[in-house]
Amino acid sequence: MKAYKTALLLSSALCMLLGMGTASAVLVNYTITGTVTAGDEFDTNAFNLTAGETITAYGVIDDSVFGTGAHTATFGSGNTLTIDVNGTFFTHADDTAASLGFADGLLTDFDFLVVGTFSSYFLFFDDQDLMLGDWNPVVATTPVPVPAAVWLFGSGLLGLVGVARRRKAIV
Amino acid sequence: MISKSRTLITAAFVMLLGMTGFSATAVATTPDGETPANEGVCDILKADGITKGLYGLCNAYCEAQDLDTFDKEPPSTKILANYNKKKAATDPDMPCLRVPCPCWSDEELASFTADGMVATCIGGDSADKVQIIDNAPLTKFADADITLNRERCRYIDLNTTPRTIRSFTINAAEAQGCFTAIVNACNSVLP
Repeated sequence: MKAYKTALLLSSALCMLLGMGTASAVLVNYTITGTVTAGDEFDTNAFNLTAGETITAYGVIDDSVFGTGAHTATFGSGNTLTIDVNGTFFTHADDTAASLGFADGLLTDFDFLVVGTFSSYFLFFDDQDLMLGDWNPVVATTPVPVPAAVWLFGSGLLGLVGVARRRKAIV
Repeated sequence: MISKSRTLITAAFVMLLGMTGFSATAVATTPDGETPANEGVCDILKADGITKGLYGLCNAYCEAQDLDTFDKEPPSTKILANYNKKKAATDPDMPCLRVPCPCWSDEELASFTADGMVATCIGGDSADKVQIIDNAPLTKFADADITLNRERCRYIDLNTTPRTIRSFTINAAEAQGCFTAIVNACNSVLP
């Protein structure tokens, strides 16, 4: 009976550990795609991008920003941002005041600034020279996978419970 | 008799003049219907210690370029020169001094509202960013960001050949000028 209770307790703890995120906000992987509207058709821009080509921004973000209403995400405490502009990478470390604005789950403002290089605000990005593009307001998200260590820990605990029950039964 | 009728004619003339003047006063209005004094932009010049006369010059200058109206007469540089001449070191600068936005010309911004309408205005009022968009036939927009240390402006017009793409980081005064210009343009066409 004691082993049964222990098993119940441990499995509850494991469920709580794995399901912690469902009760409150969790980090999710996100990808934002931007399409170049005007690029180097007439003159080479800083990133050699041509109209129709895409750039991406990705990272992990607290999923509460996708809820109803207006939300703003900043970076540095859990949330991350990487922008891949045709092989040139920028991160939130390049602009510590970068932010993403959302309204009812859709992207409304992508604010990023590295003076003289790459700039974005509202839904448009540019190289402060010749290239211009706009972000897709629909943001793709996927759950952040539960680390393998958590599964190992959980299965180890269940194994221990099993061993304890067998011992009890033998005695 | 002649003298009496002359007096009567003079009186009638004076009355007529007075009535004309009165009616003119009654219909006189500023472009936005509010004097700068009512808008409050010059009120800081009423404070103690401010050089006398600056308040009046401020009223004249600000109304000349009325901040609440997009289609305005060019501001009087003479009034501004007088203000700056009169101003002591401790006095504030002209409150509604209009700093030109480096991203666009007045004509370019006016083209957004030339047809009396605009596709979209985003932000403005209490926000730090404002954007005016006119999408026909291709993307055309102007925007400004007055966020501290992130002051920027953009003017994009993909309808021109070659396309016009201007994006600058600017100083706070310029950003405020850009921001105000877009807000005024939006206010001139939005209900």
